[in-house]
Formats: sequence, C-alpha cells, structure tokens
Amino acid sequence: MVTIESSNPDKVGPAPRAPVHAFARVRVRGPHLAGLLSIVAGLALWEFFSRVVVANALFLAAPTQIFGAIYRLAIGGQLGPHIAISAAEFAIGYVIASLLGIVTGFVMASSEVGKRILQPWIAGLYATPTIALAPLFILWLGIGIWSKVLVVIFLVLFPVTINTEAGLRTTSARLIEMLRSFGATPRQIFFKLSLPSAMPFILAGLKLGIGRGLIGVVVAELFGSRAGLGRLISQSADAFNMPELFAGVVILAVAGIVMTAGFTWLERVLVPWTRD
Amino acid sequence: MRTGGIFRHAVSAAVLTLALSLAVVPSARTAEIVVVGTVGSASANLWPVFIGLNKGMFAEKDLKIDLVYVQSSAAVIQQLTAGSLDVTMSTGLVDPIRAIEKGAQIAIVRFESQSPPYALVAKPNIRSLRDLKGKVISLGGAKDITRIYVERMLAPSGIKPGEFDMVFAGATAARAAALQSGAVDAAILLPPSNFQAVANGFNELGLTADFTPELPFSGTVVGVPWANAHRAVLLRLLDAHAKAVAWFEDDRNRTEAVAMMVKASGLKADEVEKAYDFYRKGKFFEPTGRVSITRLKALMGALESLGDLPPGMDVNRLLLPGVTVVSD
Repeated sequence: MVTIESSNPDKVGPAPRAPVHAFARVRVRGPHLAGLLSIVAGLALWEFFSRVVVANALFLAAPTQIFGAIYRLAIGGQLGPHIAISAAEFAIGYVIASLLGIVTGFVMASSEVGKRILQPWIAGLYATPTIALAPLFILWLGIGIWSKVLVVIFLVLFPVTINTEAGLRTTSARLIEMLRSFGATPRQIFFKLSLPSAMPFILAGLKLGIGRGLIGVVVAELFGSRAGLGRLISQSADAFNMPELFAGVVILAVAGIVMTAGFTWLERVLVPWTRD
Repeated sequence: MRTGGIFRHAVSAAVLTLALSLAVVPSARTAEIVVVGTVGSASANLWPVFIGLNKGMFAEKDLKIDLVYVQSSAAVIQQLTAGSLDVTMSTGLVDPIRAIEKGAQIAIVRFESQSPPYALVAKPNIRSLRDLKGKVISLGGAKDITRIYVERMLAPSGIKPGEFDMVFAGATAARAAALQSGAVDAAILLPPSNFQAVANGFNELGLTADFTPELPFSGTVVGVPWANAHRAVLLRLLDAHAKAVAWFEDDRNRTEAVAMMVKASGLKADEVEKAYDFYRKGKFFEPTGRVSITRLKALMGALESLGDLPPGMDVNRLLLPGVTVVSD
C-alpha cells in the first residue's frame, strides 16, 4: 500500500516521491527469494533424509558431505583439471554445433531442395542414440578431447538446426508481403524481419543444447578419457566414494543452471518483446 | 433320497482318498535359488561354476544357481551391496574391500584365486613392456584390480602412472575384442582370451603372477544380511564350489572340463586346453577356499598406497565370522 502526501497542494514542481513500505520491497524481490528458499529447503530436506533416514553415505551422500568433497578436491588440486577439460570439450563442441546448426537451419528454411536433401539425415541422426556411438568416436579420434567434442557436436547440432529452421519458417507471410510492398530487398527482409522473428526459436534451441551437451561430455568421458568430470564421476563410483561422485554431478548441475540462466538473460536482451 | 445318499458317500470317499494320498506322498525339498553375480561373460575364472552347474554339484545340495553377468567388478559389488545379488563369484578383491570400508554390508567368504592369472597382451608391433609408454591399454576399470596389476607390471620398465592411457572394459572378452580390433594397443586378459590373442599374432608381454605374486586375485563375496538369514544355504554353496574345484584338479576330467569351457566361451578347443594347463600348472584355483590374511593385508597395503583406503583398517571387517576360514 502506497501513501502519497503533500504539504502544499498548490506547489509547482515534481511530485514528491511516495514512501515505499517495507512490504512492497519484499514483494518486489519475492520471485528470487522464493527460488532461494526452495533451494535451501530442498538441501535441508536432503541433508535430513541422508543423515537420518538413509544414514549410509554409500547409498546417499548428504549435501554437507558433497560440499566437503568439493572443497577437498579443490584444495587438493584435482578438481581444477577435471573442470577445465570438461569445460573445454563442452565449449568447443557447443560453439561448433551452434554455428553449424544455425547455418544448416537457415539452408533448410530458405531452400526447398536443401530441406529435402538434409531432412532425412537430420531426422535420422536426431533419433540415433549418439551416446552409444561414443566408443566409435574414441576409436576414430582417440582418447583425447576431440572424441568428446564430436559427441557434444552430435548432441547439440540437431535441436539448434530444427529450432532455427522452424523459427525462420514461421515468419509471418503477411509481414513479408508488407515489407515487399514497401520495396524491401530480400536481405532487408531477412535482417529486419526473419531473423528477429526466428531469434526466440534459435535461443530456445541453444538452451536445449546446453543440457544435451553437458550429458554428452560426461557420458563420452565415461567410455574413455584422461580427465574430466565424467572420469571423476566414474572413478568415484568404482571406488564407492559417493560424496565425490555427487560432487561431479553437482558441479555439472550448477554449470547447467548458470548457463541456462545466462541464456535467459540473453533472451531478455535480444528478444525483449517475448517477455510476459 | 437313496440317490442323494449314494452321492454323499461318493464325495466323502473321494475326499478321504485325496487326503490319504497327500499324506503318503513324500514332500520334495524345493531347490533354494541363489542369485550369483559375476563379471562380464564366460571366462576360465568361472570354470568351477560351470563344472558345478554341469555336473550337478549345486543341484545335489538343493541349490539352483541364477547366474547374472554384470559389466564390471565394481558394478557387481554395487549390485551385491544393493541386495540385487546374494553372492558374487570370481570377483576382484579390491572392490569389496573398498565397499566394506565405506560401510557396505558385504563380506569376503573365500579366496577363489590366490594369485592373478592375467597376461598383458599387446599388438604385434609392441614387443616389450617398455614399448607401452604413451600407448593405450585396456583395463577393467579406473579403480579395478587390473589397474594395480598393470601399474606394477610397468613400474620395473620405468613407466609411471600417467605415462600411458587407459580405456576401460569390465570383461576380458570386451578387452580382447578391443585389442584384436585395433582399438587399443594392449589389454590385460584372462585365459583363454590371452591364448586366443597370441594365436592371432599378438604378443604376450608378461604374466601378472610374475610381478605381483603376493597379491590375491578373486574371491566369493556375500551380502551379510542374506548370509545371516541363509547360513546353511551359503555353506552348501561353498561346499559345492569346493567340490567343483576338486573335480577340476583331477587329471581324469581334463577332456570334459575343456569341453565345458569351449561350449561356454565359444573359443577353440586348443586355446581352452592351454588355459586348462595354465591354471593347473600355476595352481591358480584355491582348493580350500581359505583366506590368507597376509595376502589380504598386502592388497590392502596396495590400496592404501593409492590413497583408496585409510591406513590401519581392521582386516577382520572384511570377513564373515563363522563362515570365512583363514589360513594364516
């Protein structure tokens, strides 16, 4: 509730700033507070469940044990190299797949022949269990980062391609007609209308690719790697070290959350008209 | 009325006859099903199990073995810990030791193999252990017992951990396939897969038993809750397994033992024969099943040096009182 007061109703000038009650301040920050409270409550419940109900770190590690493992791995210098390797594999694969996916989507959207040629491959490879091909990629490219990069490319490429193509195709035909009637060139139509119209779809595809890419990195490392979070997870599982196993999982989850949040911010900047 | 009376008499007679017949039929003891987990697929390590199944030694003890293959030694112990398996056989001993240290309710009840029967086999162009520096070797797992063996084998050649790459496949058959397809440069293999690889032109670089004679290899591991609830069944199972080992060690059974493994593994008879002779000559199967505390402590020491085990762990935590028999 806001109260506006003025000691002199005839005074000329800017209206005095209305005092904002504390409750209003809390309401403005409500959505973020709710999310934070949800996480804290979830962690507390997890801690209680694992310490009291399960009471065996072999089956379920408590959050405090997991954070302890993260701290020990970080202090011991083991965590950094694992994160660096996985991050490099993900970043390289993701960038290549995103660029390829956008270009391929554009080709499919702008050329009927291109679409007919590429569609069966896109549809078939999208449905292929790429993870099962990881051992083959290791055979082709060795145990280094490039076999993992290839897995990430395969997993990220298709949602980006499909979303890009869908976004470009759903550009309003009436708006295109309208721009043509005003004498717009195809280039102008693409940059002024088609691309902005497709942006929400492209960004959605890129967001989808984050989770798939992270999964690809981990699973590919499980099959064979020198280092990486997937390797850390598999080694920890073999050694029955659940806190370290969960440490790897939590780091990947946090990476996914941060990147997704980053893309959400990017959406607000690039496509503000899609905000509620 | 007379008809109704005859009918009642007939029904009574039938019921009485049925009751009498049930009373005199001897109650047959139904076989107890034991879910036994093991790694990968058929290999020479499982010879006593195949003998026990084929020669009816388990059936004699009213046991029905449900044999489950799991992809790696660590995974089979995870399944045992979770209660999906009752017993595991031919299990690398490092995995149960680690699991018990972390609180798993499992125990080692017998040694099946006092020393490791593995061979390190490499591509034709790799002629010595020294040549493995910088190469890719297929092992059972990142923390598998095979890793300990390989690192010990390479150490005298000056190759330290990190100076070779590792890929993992829990089962010997998978590692052998990876080697023979050219996917890896070397692999640690159990018989008869090593003999098959050598017959195909690959080079055997060394035997683990020559480098790690003090380290035991495999054993039978049980879930403690199951063992406590089925003590008699467990003892019958171990007894049947011991009989199977004794049968294997009898020269008169060589031909039949080889035929069993040929059928189970799909490998050639001459390769399986070599495996049989290798196991007999090296006395790899532990006939008494007794657990050597000295060897167990040596293995725990190896795990401590890798940082996988805290120092000073009580060896008795690994054993099942009343079932595990120690030899020293």
